[in-house]
Amino acid sequence: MILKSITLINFQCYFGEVTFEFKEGLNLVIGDNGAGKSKLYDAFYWVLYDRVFDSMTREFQLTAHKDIRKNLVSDKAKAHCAPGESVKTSVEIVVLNPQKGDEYILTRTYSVARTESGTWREPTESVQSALFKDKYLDARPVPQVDIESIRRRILPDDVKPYMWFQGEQVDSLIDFKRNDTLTRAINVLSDISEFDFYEEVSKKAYETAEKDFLRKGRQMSSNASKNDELASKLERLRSELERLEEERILAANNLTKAREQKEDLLGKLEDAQRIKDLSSKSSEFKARLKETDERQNKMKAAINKNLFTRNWILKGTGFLVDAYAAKYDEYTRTRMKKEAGQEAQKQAMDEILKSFRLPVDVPEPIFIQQMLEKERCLVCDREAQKGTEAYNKIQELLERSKSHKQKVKPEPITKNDFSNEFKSLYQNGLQLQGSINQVDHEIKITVGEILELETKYKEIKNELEINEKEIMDIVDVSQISTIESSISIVIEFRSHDNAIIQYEKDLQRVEIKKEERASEINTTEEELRSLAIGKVPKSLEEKVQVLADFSAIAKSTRARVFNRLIEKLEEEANKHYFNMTAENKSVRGRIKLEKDLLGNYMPKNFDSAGLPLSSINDSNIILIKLAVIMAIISAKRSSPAAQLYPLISDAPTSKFGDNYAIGFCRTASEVYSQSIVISKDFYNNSDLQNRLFDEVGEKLGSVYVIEPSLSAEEQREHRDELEVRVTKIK
Amino acid sequence: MTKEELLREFLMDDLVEQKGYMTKDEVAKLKFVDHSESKLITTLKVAILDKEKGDSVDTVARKLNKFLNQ
Repeated sequence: MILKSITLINFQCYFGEVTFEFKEGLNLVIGDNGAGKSKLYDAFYWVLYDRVFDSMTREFQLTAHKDIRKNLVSDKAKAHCAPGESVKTSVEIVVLNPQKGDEYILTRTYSVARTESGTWREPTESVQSALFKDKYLDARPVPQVDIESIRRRILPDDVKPYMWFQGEQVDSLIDFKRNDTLTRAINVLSDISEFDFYEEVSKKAYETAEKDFLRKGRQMSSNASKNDELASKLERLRSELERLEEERILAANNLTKAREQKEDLLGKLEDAQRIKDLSSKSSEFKARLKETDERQNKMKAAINKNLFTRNWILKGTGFLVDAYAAKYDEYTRTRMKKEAGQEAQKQAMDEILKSFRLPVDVPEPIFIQQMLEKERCLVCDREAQKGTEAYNKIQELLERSKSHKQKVKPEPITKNDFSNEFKSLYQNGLQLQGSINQVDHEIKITVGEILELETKYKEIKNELEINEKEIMDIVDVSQISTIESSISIVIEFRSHDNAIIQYEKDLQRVEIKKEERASEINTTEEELRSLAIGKVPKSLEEKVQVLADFSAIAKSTRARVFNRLIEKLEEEANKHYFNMTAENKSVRGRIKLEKDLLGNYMPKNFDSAGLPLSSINDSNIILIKLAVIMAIISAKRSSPAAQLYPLISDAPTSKFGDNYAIGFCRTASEVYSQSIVISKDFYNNSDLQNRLFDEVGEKLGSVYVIEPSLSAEEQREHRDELEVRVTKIK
Repeated sequence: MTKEELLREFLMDDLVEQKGYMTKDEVAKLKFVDHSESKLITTLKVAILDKEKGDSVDTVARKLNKFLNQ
């Protein structure tokens, strides 16, 4: 199909009637942001599918959607609509079938009415109509019931995603998370499905023939019940084989996924492992820091304790001990002198007392005192006047008494006797002297150890900081967002590794079981054949054989054609990929289509040494997908998709850098019979335009420039004057 | 693919030569309209023609069984 033209009447920002005419080859519609490019894409979509893009929900919504129908009709057209009148929007496309010369004209209209009060009556439905015009006759209306089939003829639903897309949908053309995504695209866009048809036919035909054969075999069997038993055993074995095949597919799927997940992580593993090791080291450093800090604090706390337990409080008091010893020595000498004096005095007194006739205190001192006072001896009753010998003798008696009392109670040497305490202090001082002499040395050692610990603490802290910085540097440049995720990457990698081993075992086990079942099936079939007493008709045997061969050949041919297609696809995909990335100088690698265990293919990127290239830029990843899709179309020149359906793409290179636009357009012109590319990239860039025109050459179709027509600044405040000016430049 | 290309594609399979139906050289020279005694080749032709007519899988399978019963 060739899209000949599209005519918009009062559609969204397109006020009045605007027509774009297209040809085969590359057609371009160029415009700046807000010019109406996406609304043109909406017009294509609306006329076929009754939907336009809703920027709020980011989905294509039906006309019935309130926010959609409100904005369908041009604001300028509505502004010109008087109360009580209605205004209509419509889009019409003319599609040509070049092989037959037939044309389809599809139109969709939607009308709104303005009430007298100025509000709008907006119905929920639009109206679609179609005309068919063949080469010879005028256009005639198509019945409503047939419009849907015409729509599908213009663009089948399964082909649409690969032919009509906006830039932001390009990424989803091939979903790397789905193993069969490329296989599905190939099935849709190539003619490989033809071989699927024959495979199915041959399988069905063979199954029917085999049932006939078994039925005949039963009729001719020598033992019907044994025949039945074997037949049901055969059926059971075949079911089991099917189930095992499903199990095999599941195991293969799991294995493929595990391998892919492991491969995904491979790029990050080295960094993750390094981060994990460094984190371990950080933990060690932190533990050592803690230990050092605790030791330091313990030692500092011990200083206070040592003041009393190790007598550090006596630091510098050595001289006091010496001074005290000297004082004590002096005290002792003085005391001894005094004691000696007292002793001599006592001895002298004792001698004196020994010379008296009377005992001491006879007469008693009180009477002696009376005698002295009376100056008369009471013993002999004679006068003893003071100063006389008699008086002196009486006085001697009193003196003697006093001396004796002195002897019994000698006078203390000091007022208070602390000699024991002084002695004790002296002895303590002697004991402490040793410790006092050691204190300085001990304090010096302890302080030294504390300082050493402080230095060590600083060193460990420094090493920790270096370690942490290295971790952050790796986190910054790698794809690993956090230290925790690095640990989980390592764990996950190992888990995938273990899973791979398990799935490989599962797969092996299932395949062995399958072989066993297949062998049992053969044995059972032979047993069944051996029960036949006559011969099954040759024609039936032959039929079964021919259809078995047909089935095997159909399956094998399909696989062979598919593999050949894959080789061709790879070649074509790289051609398109290189073409599209020609202007950009980043690393791009080479596309390789890798087969998984389920027989699905996935595009991967490799370097020249055949090693996976994991860090190419996002634009190139999307281009790989586009290149593969285009390759499917171009690889098979007779492909229905390439011949019959136009590419319509709105901002296809929006996800890429600026220098991909020419490459994409050039490739599209080579691959698609007709492409309509709506793009901003060439707007106001006549150099780029001219380059493209030169490179595309005769494959260039029509080129339009669209611009909003608001001239005055005040008109930009609202949409009532908004319309699009369309200029054809080629 | 034309009918002829399709037929040759199937007959180019290694199984065809292994089972003694045709050699690859013979296949390369084969035309769709050529008469063949081989039931396999005739079966393939019937399947290709029926598909071209637009018959479904079931219909073609049934037709093949009927054809091979003759």
